[in-house]
Amino acid sequence: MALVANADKRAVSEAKSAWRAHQKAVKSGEVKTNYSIGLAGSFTVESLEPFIGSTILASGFKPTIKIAAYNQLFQVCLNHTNHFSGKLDCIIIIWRIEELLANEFKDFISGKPEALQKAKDTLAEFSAAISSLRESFKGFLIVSTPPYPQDTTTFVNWNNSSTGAAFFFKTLSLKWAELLAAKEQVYILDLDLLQRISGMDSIFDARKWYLYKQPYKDLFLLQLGLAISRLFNARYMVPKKCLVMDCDNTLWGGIVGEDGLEGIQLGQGFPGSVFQDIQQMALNWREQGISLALLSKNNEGDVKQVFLNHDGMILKWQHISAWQINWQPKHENIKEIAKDLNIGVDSLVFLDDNPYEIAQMQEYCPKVTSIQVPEDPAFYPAMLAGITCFDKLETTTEDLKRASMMQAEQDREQVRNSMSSQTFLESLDLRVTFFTPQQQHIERVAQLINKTNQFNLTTVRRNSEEVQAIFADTSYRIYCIQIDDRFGEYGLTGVAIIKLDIAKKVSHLDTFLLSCRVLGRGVEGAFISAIAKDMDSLGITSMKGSFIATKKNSPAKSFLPDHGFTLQKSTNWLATIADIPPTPEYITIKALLG
Amino acid sequence: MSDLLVQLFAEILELPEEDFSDDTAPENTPKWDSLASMSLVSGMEDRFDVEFSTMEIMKMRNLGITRKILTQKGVSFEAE
Repeated sequence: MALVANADKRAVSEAKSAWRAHQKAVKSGEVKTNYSIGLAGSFTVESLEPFIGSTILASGFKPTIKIAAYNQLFQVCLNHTNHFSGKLDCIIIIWRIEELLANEFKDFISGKPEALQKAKDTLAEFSAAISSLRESFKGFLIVSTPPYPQDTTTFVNWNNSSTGAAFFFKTLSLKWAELLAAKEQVYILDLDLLQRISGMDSIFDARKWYLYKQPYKDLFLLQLGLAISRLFNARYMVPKKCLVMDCDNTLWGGIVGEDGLEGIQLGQGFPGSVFQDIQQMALNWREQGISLALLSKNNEGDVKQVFLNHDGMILKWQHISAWQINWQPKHENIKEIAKDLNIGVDSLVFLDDNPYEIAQMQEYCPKVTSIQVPEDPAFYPAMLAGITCFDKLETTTEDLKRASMMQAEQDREQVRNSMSSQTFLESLDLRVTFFTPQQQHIERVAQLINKTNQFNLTTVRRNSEEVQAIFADTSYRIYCIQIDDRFGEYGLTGVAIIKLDIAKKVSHLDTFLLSCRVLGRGVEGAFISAIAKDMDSLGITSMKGSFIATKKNSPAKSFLPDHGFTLQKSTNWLATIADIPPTPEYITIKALLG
Repeated sequence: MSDLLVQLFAEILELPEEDFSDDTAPENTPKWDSLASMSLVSGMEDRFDVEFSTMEIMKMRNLGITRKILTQKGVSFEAE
């Protein structure tokens, strides 16, 4: 226990000194900040600053944190520029019943049931204030849930029917959840859940509460900082796309090649039930758009037999999007899996029980995130549940489809291998739908802008709010394509943003990208040709473009010269609209322009 | 005058160590506001591995008194 306590203490003081060093470097001009956070709380939140700051620093940002005056949440929501000066990228609002609804809470627990309605009214007003902030502030907005109240003076009546403090808390929490659920782009920091995880007995510091109106111990503030940084990572880091799993002692207990189908541990009773829980978690991820793959040193037939014939299996063979089951080194096989799924190895998470395999992977394929199964199976599910690299704030319908689309990609690959490329393309029966996006597409458009690396001419990143602004700006046109072929549909997989100068009859291709799922089919030709047609109808006669090379976008390198553009200077290209070639013959294009 | 306590105060209040004496107090040190006082308490508890009672925190009206309270708890400040 002492060891753990010491580690906690060290983590706390390391966080503080990291933040102090950062602030010093900022002050001296050594470090330039690139991300600005406004923090507002119903209690004294200054103590939280080093813990938010240091964890976000560790995620690669160079943050600066501005703090609003104590318990002025309404004022902050209604006029945030008054409370946070200068450029602001994120606002975090943390509140508790004890302060925001102090009087209502006191009245209620001292026997005035009408205070509950009053509290609900205040909460509705607060919710309206948050909505108004959401409108006036374009950045990342994080709002807490109310945590279970700290004061336990009426403990005996705590949960007593409809008059106890617990009833007050539960009613208002539910109300708050309903109010937040109706808002878009307001992200939730579940302060109540964090209190439960750490345990209320261990998080409060009564001295600091009475002296400074700051209720929490440093260690809990560190947990709070980590939870906020998890939201940051989910928003700004590129999420992993595929879970690559070993089989023996990873998906089931025992070794199928030795113990046989009957001998492996999978089903009710320990440890078989653990592996069922693990499979269920993998399946849940698949439903969120994460692909599943198998990477096992085994006979393929043995493994397949388990998937097909063992009635304890939660995962079925059709859930597996790619597999390498043979005796080759895993760090070589995993590259084949990446190739099969048409994604980078840095999108893969590798799960294995064998420390040797983990070490090999880390040595030879460090871009893969490698995770070791814990020795005691009982701790395995909790370990896996703690993985943050699949975190993502919005699950779009595209993500839901991705897993099964990736499997269709494999079927296409098989056909491709058996034919010449021209006949292959002709056999695909490609249909491209060209359209200007509606509001419901904007989230997906922003998602593509932020994660497309390969076929991306300029790799300009924009967050949802910025895309929204362009969407509303009439001097821009956003175009999208959606693609179908005989194997299935790929969904919204291409985005172009064009800046128009109608007076000069010229347009500028600001963004042009295609998801890697649809590369190698010539759909980019169909896309640019449809854009050219629309430009022509607007009276535009030429189009400027640029190609900004990155480590990953070589697939887009020859796009401009292949489609009628000629090089002007450094990265700048120019095409006469009439010179842009027409849609390839094997593609059917349908334009739906709003 | 420099010891581990002065070093800690200097670090947290972002002032040079030579500015500190036993008479250093919130009244003559604008940076020593109530928020800084909270950081000082956490900082001392972390660094010297002690815990203060609320009354002790209330009594820490200057650096001299603070040092005395820590000494009573068996803390020594000799810089290594």
